[in-house]
Amino acid sequence: VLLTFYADREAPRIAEDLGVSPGAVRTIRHRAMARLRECVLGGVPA
Amino acid sequence: MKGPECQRIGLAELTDYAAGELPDGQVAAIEDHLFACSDCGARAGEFDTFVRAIRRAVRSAEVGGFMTDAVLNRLARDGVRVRSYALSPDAVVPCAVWEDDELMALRLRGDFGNASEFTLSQRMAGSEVSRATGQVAASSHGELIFAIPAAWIRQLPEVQVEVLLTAHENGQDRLIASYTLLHGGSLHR
Repeated sequence: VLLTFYADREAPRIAEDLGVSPGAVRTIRHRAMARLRECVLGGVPA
Repeated sequence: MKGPECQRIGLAELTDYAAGELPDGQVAAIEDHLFACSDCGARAGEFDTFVRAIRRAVRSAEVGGFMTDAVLNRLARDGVRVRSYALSPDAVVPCAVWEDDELMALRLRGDFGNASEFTLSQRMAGSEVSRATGQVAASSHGELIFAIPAAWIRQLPEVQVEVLLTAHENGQDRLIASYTLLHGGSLHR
């Protein structure tokens, strides 16, 4: 999330930085955004 | 009576859209829908506010956790003052933050294997005081970077903090190393 929305890196570069595939970057990012949202907003559905 | 809310564009689509990682055809379709649909438009507005809040929190050094050089470089460009400590396994390192430091970056060395998920636990007097898990890989210098807000360190007494780094690999946990920080409080020039 930080690499995408703060450091403005694209998925292929992030994949390199994190040692995972670009597809995994998107999956990890979706999961992280969902968890962050839940932390901030509680159980409010998306 | 209000009908069921339109769920066509959810968090996953908004995330990929904001990241600029959708094919052109999908971008146009999402934009058309966002203009036409108030439910999804509202969700997109909330998402935008959320992303801005993330950036603001990072830039103001309120957020710690696993980071990479790309994030630290961006923080430096944004003028955030970062103090770095390089730690080898079993190292015992006196450390302190200066009054104008905003973030402390631990550069952890060790045998990380091929792991890309790690947990860092900080312990004081045998009790865990913080625990963070993240997907990250070692930098080209063979270091894992973990950032701690200087404000958090400033409120600590003079204390010994044990840092335990664990890798999650093939469904197993492996202790990489333990590092000891001797916090000396806040320093003034």
